[in-house]
Amino acid sequence: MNIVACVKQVPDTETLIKVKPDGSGIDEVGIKWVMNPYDEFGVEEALKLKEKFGGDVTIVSLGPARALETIRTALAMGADKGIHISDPAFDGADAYTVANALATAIKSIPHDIIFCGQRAIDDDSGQVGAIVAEFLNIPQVTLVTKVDIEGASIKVIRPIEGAQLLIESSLPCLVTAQKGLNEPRYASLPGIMKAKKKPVDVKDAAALSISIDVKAKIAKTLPPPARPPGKIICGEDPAEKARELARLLREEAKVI
Amino acid sequence: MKQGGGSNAPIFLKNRCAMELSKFSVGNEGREVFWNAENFEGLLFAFTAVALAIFAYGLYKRWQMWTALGKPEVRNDNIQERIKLFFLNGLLQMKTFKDVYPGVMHGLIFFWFFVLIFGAAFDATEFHIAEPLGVPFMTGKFYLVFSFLMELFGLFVLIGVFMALDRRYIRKPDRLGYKGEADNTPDDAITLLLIGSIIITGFVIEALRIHVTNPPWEVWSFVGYTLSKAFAGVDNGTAEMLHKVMWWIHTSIALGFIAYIPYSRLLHIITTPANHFMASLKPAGNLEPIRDFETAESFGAGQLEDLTWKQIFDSDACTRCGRCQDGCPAYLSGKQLSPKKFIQDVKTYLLERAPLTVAAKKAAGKAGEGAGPEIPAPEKTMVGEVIDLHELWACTNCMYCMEHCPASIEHVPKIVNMRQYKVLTEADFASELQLTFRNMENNSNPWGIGSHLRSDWAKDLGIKTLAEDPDVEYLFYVGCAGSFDDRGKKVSAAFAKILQTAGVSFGILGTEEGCCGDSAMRGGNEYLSQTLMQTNIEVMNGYGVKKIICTCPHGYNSLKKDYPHFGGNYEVYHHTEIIDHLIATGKITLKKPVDGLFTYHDSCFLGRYNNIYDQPRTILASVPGMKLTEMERKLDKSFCCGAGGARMWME
Amino acid sequence: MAKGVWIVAEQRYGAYRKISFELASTARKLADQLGEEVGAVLLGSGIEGIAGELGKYGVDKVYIADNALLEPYTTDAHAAAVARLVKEKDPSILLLGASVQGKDLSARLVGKLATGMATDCVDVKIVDGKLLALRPMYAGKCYGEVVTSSFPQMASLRPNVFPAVENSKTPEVIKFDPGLDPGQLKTKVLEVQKDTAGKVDLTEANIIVSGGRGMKGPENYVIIEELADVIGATVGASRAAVDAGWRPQKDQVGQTGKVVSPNLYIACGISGAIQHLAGMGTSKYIVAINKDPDAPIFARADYGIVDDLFKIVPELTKEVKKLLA
Repeated sequence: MNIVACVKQVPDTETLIKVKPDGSGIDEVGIKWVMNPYDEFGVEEALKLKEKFGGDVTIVSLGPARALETIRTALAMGADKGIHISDPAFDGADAYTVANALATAIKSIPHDIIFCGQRAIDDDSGQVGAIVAEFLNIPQVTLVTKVDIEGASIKVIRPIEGAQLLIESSLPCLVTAQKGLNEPRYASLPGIMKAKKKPVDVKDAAALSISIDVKAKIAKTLPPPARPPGKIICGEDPAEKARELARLLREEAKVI
Repeated sequence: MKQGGGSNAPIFLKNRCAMELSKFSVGNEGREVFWNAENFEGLLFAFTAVALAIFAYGLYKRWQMWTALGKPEVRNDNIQERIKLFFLNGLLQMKTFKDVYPGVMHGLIFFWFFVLIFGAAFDATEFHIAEPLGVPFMTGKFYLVFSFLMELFGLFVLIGVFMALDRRYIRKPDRLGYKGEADNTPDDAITLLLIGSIIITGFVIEALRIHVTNPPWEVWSFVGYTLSKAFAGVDNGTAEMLHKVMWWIHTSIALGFIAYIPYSRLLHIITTPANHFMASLKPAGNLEPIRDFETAESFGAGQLEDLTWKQIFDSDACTRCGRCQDGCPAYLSGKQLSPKKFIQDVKTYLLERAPLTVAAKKAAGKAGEGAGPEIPAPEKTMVGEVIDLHELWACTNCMYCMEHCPASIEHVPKIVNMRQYKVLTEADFASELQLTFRNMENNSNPWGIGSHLRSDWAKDLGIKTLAEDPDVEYLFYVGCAGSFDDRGKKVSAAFAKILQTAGVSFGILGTEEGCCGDSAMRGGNEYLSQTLMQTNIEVMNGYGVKKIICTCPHGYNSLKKDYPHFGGNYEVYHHTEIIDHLIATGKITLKKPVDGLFTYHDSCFLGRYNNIYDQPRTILASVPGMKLTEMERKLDKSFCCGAGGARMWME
Repeated sequence: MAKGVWIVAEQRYGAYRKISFELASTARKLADQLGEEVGAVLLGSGIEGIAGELGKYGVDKVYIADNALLEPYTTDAHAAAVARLVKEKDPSILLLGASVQGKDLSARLVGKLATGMATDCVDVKIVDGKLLALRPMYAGKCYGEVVTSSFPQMASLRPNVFPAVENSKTPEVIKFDPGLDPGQLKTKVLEVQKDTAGKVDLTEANIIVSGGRGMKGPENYVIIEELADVIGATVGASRAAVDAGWRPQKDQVGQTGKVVSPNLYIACGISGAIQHLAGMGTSKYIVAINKDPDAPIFARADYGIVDDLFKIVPELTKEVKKLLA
C-alpha cells in the first residue's frame, strides 16, 4: 500500500507566542518546534496501515529548512522516506498555495491513501487537507477517529455535533486525523538512528513547477484581547453568584 | 570431625595406637585423634576424594555458567578496598547484623565454619604433620581451651539451626515467602538438617569416646561430657561399635555436605563472599551510562546476555532471605514486585540459559575456527515474560533492597537496564510516561509547562540570574518541582530568603535551567536524560559554575553522581547541609517557636543514596519549641514515598 | 463583477441549526454596508418547506436544491452543488459556519473555487469594500486580520459568537439544479450513531464539569451530572476522586489521566494541583468553585467563586437552564 502522511512543523503548544510589534507575525526566537500533534495521529495511522498491509509510508512537508527535523521525527517513528518542499517563496503562503505544492508533490508518487492532521495548531486553519484532496480529485473524510480499510474502500468514524457517523469512501482518499484516532508511538532509539539515513527529497517551487499566487493574506497579527485576570465573583448569596457566573459565561466568555 | 588411622597403617601409627591412653594425663591433656577409627583412613581418603570431586565438578559447572554469558565488567580493581568489604561483610557479616535476630541466628550457624576449619584442619594437621614431626600442639592448656571452644561453637550452631528451623517452619515470617505463601524448598530443610545432624552426631561420637576413654579433663568438652552420661550402662565393646557406626554416619554426612554445596543454597558460602568482594565501589545509586547510541542495535538489557556477567552473578549470591522484600515500598503496597522474586527469576533464567550457551560454545569449538556458537533462541523473553512488566515498572529506585541485602546484590541497576530496553529499543512503555518524556523534550519539565515560566517563582524576590551576574559563589539549582509545583515554589522562595538573610552569594539559572533528567534516566530513557544533562552542563560550564545547592533530593543526587559522567564536575550540596552549616556558624538563628508534634521522613535519595540523615535533624532540633518524634521506619530503613524511579509520572 | 453576500445554511433533519441564523444576520449586516443582496444556499432533501424561514434573518434570495443525493451531507455532493452555483452567480463574499460540517465543506470549496478563506472567525467587517476577518490563531494566543484578494472572499464563522438578529424579509426562493452525477459521489454515510445524552468523550468535549476531593463522596456527583446535562458537558474528575473510587479512571483529568482542552472547564471542589492543571491548563475558559480561597486553581481560573460547591452548583444549574431556555 502506498501511504502518504503530510506533516507540518509548528511551535510547541506551551511555547510563549510573542507578536512582533509591527504586527507582521510572531517572533520566532526561542520557539520550541514540534510536529503538529494532529499530524502525529496521521503518521501513526499510516504506520499502522503499513504494518497491516505492507507497503511504504512517505512523509510530505512544506516548510523552511528547520522542518526537516520534523520529517526525521516521522521517519524515526517508522516512515520510509520524505519529501521536503522548501522555498522562501512559500513564506506567507495561504492554504490554497500550500495545498497546491503538497498535491503536486504527492501526484508524482503513487498514493492510495493520504493522511493529514485535521488542522495545524499554529494557524488553526484546517483547510489544507481538503484542498489537497480537491487538487488530487479524490474524496475527503475529515475529523476521523477510526479507520478501517477493506479492499478498495475505507470506512471511518467521525464525530458530528451530537452523533458519530460511519462513512464509507472509495480509495484513494484523503483522511484528516482527529484526536482519539490512535496513540502516536514514541520513536525508538534505533528508529531515530536509522531515520538519519532515510532518503528525503528536497524540492523548491521550481522543481514543482507551480506558480505561487497567495490569495488570503494575514494583513496584521494582533495580540489577543487583554484577558482580564481571573475574576472572583462576589455576591450576597450563592444564587446571586451563580447567576452572575452564568451571565458572564454567556455574555463575556461566550462559551454557553 | 575426627579422623582415624588403620591396621594397615604405617608402623609409626601402629605404635601410636599402643600409646593410647597412657600418652595423656592431667597436665598433658589431649586425645587420640583417630581413636577407634584406625582402619578407616584409606576408605576415608577415598570418600573424601569422591566428595571433593563431586564438589569440584559442581563448582566447575557453575563456573562455566557464570562465565558463559554477560557483558564485561571490571570488578577486581582496587583490591585493597575489596578485601576490606570481603572482611567486613563476608566474615564479620556487618550487613547481616543490620537485622538483629536473623543476623544473630545466621551468625550462630556461621560458626559452623570455624568448627569445620578448626576441628577438621587442626585434627588433620596434628595427625598428619605435627605428631609425625614430633611437635604435637593439641595438648595441655591449648587442648583444653580448644575443646571448650569446639563445644561452644557446636552448641552455637545447634542453637542457630533450631532458631532457623523455628523461624522458617513455625513462625513463617512474610519475607520467607511471597504474598503470604511460604517459598520453602526441600533444599532449605536439607541444609539445616545436614548441619544440625553433623553437629549432633559429632557430639554423640564424642560422648561415646568420652564414655569409653573417660579421662577427667574431658569435662571441658562439656556437651560431650554431659551426653556421655547417657551411655552410662553401655559396655565398652558396644560403645566402640556404636562409635564406629556414628563415626561413619558423621563422616558421610559431612562429606555429603561438602559435595552438596554447589548443588544447593550452600553455594552462597562461595558466591556471597565473592559478591561482597566484587561489590560496586562506585557512589551509592550509580548507574553506568550508555555510551554508544550511534552504532548499537539494542539498548539496555533485553536478553540475559545484555546484562554484565556481574549483574548475572548477583542472582547466584541470593539466598532468598527476603530482607529486600520486607522494606520494598512496591511490595508492601500490594504490587507484584518483590526484589527477592526479581533476583530469583533472573537466577532461574540463568540456570536455564547458561547450560544451553555453554553447550553451544562447546559445539562451536568443535566445529572449528570461525564458527560462531549457535545458541538456541530463548523461549521466553527476559523482559516481559521472565520478568513481568508490572514488576519492572513498580520499582521506585528507593534502594532499600540494596542497602539491606546481606549479599551485596545490586537490584536497581538491573531494573533500570531492563527499562532502558523497553523504552529505547522497543519504545514500548506506559503512555503517561511517554507524555512525561515529551514534556521534558519540549519544555524541559515533566509537566510540560511553558519553559519560559520557569523562573516566575522568583519574580520580585530580588534574585539575580547567572546571566545577570555570573560572579557568585553558589548556583542555586531550583529544579522542576521547585519551579512549577505550588508547594515546591514555596520551598524555593523560603530557601532563597534564608540564603539572602545569611548573606550567601548565589544566583539561579532562571529560564536557562533545564530538567535535571533524573526521572528520564530512572524511567529508562537514557537518551533523553543524557540530552537534558548535557544541555545543563553546557550552560553551567559556560558560566564557570563550581558549587551548586539543590533543594530537591533527586536533583541533588543527579547533579552529584550522574553529571560527572558527562563532564559536569561540581561541588554539590543539599540545602539541609547548607542550612545546617549556616546555623552552626551563627549566620542565621531560628527565633520563631513552633507548636505541635513533628516528625522527619528520611528521603531515599538523601538518606540511603547520600547518607544525609543528621543535618535535617540537627536543623529541626534548633527550632525553638520543636518536639520531634521518630517514625518506626527511619534512617536507612525509611519507607519510600513512592514517587522515585519515575513512578511519580505513572499511573 | 462579484456581487452579493452569500451564506451556506446548515440544516439537519429538516431544521436549521442555529449557526444558519447567525450567518444570515451577519451577512445582512455586511450586505447593508456594501449595498448588496444577501443570498443563502440551502441543500437537502424534502426541505422546501423551511426555505422561507431564512427571510426572518434578512436573507433576500434563498437558492435551494432539493435532491435525495444531498441528504445526508456528503462533501462530494454539497461541495459540487455549491461550487457550481457560486461559479455561476459570482457572489463577492461567501460565509459558512465553522461547525463540523461547515469546516469540512468550506475547506473543499476553497479548493474548488480557487480562493482564500479565514477559518473560525470571531469578527467580520467591511474595510475599503473588502471583507476583513478577525480570527484566533495559536489556540487563541494571538489573532490575525485576514483579507482575501480573490472572489468569493470566504470566511467561516465560529458558532455562538455572532448574534442572530431578526430582520424580516420575504425572500425569493429559487430552485437550482445541483448537477450531481452519482458516479462522482465517492463517499456514503452508512450509519448515524447518536451520542447517548451528549456523552462526548472528555478529550473531545467542548465543555467539561469536573468534581474533585471537595465532592466528599460518589453520591454527590449527581449535582455535577445535572449541571453537565443542562450545560451540555461531559463529566470529569480529579485524581483524588478516582483514587477514592468515586469515579471511574476514564473520567480522570490530569497528568496521568486525560489531557483535555475544552472551551469551558468548570472545576468543582478541585484544588488545582499541578498534576491536574497539566491535564486541563489549555482550556479556553476555566471556572473554579472551591470554598478554600487559597486553592491554587484560583490563580489559573478566569472566573472563580469562593463558596460551598454544594450551594453554588445547583444554583448554577438553575441559572444556565434559564439562560438556555
